[in-house]
Amino acid sequence: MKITGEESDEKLMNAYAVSGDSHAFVFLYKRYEQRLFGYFARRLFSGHQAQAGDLFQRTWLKVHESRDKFDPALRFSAWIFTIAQNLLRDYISSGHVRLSRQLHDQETVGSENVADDIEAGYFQKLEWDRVCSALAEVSDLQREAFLLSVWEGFTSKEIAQLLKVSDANARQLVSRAKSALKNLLEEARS
Amino acid sequence: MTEFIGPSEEVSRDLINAISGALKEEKKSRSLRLGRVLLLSTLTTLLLSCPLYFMFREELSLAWKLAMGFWWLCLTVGFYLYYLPQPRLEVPGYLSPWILAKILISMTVLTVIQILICPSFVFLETPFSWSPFESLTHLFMSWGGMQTCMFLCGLLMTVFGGVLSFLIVARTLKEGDSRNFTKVLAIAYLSQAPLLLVQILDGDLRPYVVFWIVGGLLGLAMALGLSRALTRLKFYFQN
Repeated sequence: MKITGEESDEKLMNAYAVSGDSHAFVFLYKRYEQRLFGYFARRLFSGHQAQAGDLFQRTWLKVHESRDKFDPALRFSAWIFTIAQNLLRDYISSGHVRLSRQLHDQETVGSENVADDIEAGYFQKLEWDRVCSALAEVSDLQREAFLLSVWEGFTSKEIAQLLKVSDANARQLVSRAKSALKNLLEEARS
Repeated sequence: MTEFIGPSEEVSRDLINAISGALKEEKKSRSLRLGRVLLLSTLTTLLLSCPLYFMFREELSLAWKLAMGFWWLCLTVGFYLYYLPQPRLEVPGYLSPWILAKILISMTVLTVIQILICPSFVFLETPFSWSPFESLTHLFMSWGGMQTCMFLCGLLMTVFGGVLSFLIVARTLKEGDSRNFTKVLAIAYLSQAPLLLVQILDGDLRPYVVFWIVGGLLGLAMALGLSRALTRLKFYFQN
């Protein structure tokens, strides 16, 4: 079967795992490169960005090692992020890093924004700092569920798989995180 | 305007090449790979054992023959792990068979070379009088006789082996990764195991074997301490 790059993640993973198709791997890699790297980069302090790169590489190496164990019934995105989550957890539990409480997002606060419009950039930065402070206030599970939903674009089913909670519980976590953040941001503004 | 969040081009290229290369290797014949492994390990053992054979000839004891057999085994396992289809990438925390193979092969070669140039093991009473380590041995002997010489021999061999192993795995070690480095050292010192056998079976060396072991243990502690300090230093500069 010729791989065109139009296939679903699961079909690409199947071609990569079963037939050893390197093109299928490259397509998968390109699809998840930014999301996966962003997952680590956003969760680590800015001083640990090199480690984000290492964890990113180790995730792909782990995917390669465990590709025979991939269950086609599961979604590939949930599987790869479970691997990423486990690696991140091990890295954090090693005691050499804390999960970032200053979640810096270069996607929204770019230096070019500030250069274009200093005033807008200033207020954007101020707002962003408030969001980061508010995020630090909610529980770890709520923060993770919120980030997976808002940043990574995961569905509640995928979040449930990743956080090992029920679907309803995942929806509840995201919803509670949103309302807590809303309250905290309103408090900060007032 | 959004800024790109992603790995560097170099990281992406290396990762894609490493995994694509591993997939290509997997498609090659297993028996051909095994043949290459056996050929390489046998040739390397013969090359390393030749000087031993020609120096001892009919005096080549069972202990030396067993040692050669053990080194052949170490080299076979080493080359097998080296040629195993796998992504050849050095990433902190990823201790691949390829890295372990590099340690096993280089340490086996280093051990045999160390033995060949050590006057107490091979160069003593041989037709070859030149040895770069001869003056060092004389110095050790003048300090405290055979006991000191064996103690320092064990210490130097272990420290040297530990430092070499550290240099090979330095890029793959994580901060505070002492467990992985201990595993690396265990593999590294495996090739030195026949040395103990040779010393125990040799009547002249047997009374001093305990000094060699004590020196080796001290060397192991020093190698671990040194590697821990160097790893901390590496991460201090990295962050």
